[in-house]
Amino acid sequence: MQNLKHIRFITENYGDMQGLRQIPLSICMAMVGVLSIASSMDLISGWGVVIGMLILIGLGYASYDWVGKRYNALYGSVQSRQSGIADPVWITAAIVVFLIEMFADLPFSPSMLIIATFFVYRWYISDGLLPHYLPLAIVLLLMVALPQVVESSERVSWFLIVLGIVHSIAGVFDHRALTRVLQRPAPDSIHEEEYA
Amino acid sequence: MTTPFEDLAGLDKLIHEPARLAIMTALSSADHAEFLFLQSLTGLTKGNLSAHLSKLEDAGFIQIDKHFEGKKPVTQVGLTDKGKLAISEHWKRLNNLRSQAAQWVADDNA
Repeated sequence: MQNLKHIRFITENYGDMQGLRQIPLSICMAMVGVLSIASSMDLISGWGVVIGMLILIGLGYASYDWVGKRYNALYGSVQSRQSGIADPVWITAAIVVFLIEMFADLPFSPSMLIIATFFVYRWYISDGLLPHYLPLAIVLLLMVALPQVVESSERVSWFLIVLGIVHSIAGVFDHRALTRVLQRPAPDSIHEEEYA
Repeated sequence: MTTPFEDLAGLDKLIHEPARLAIMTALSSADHAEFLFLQSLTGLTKGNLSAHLSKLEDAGFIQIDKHFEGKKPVTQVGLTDKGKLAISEHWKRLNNLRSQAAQWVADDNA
């Protein structure tokens, strides 16, 4: 029954578990934060930041698309059924709270708390298939105190850097979890004559 | 309420074979999946997977769509309504049997 649950989970979340696909976008997210900090330290001009961001976003999406095609070429594609509105709700909640957080000078980061809770949620629904989300959620929980240690003008940049790094690590482990299941041979499939 | 024997006898042997159960389970959570995905998921050879799919198609549980995307041949597999009903009924029976077995184990250990 556990194996059947994992088969269902992999099929339903095949797109989300293509971890290497997420990495370029996550790195771009972190790099946008780095560029922004470099700009605030006068290491790079405002135009340099804008051009750098555009190049990074372009590269990120091109890589995302290319890596997705490689996954489909290697493991095939799945037209997943809409598994619900859980993910969009989490993401929208995090963005809305983040926008509020940018204008209200809070001593902690509620948006980081939401993302950490989302990671715990992913760990829970994966039924042991994605164990890495729990330690990553703990890292994010520690980052809830980020506003205490960085200047308010650099808060957004650090938020993007931390999230980019954590998401990249999650991507590597998602890929590992996916390829472990997809390479595993089905049990006793040869003994078909018993059932035929 | 069904008896344990009725639950056992009612298990569809065509679906209960491990590879076909894996295929039907995967397809039940997607609109359709490519042949290559099912092969990666089950670890079966092409010939073996084709044989299983043919049996499921003959029973009316799945539909197979073969077409070209550019020059690449693509085989997509999806569950029919009959297949969706059959796999959900199969899980229900398996769950009944599992609950009963769990009760026996608990009683034996008591």
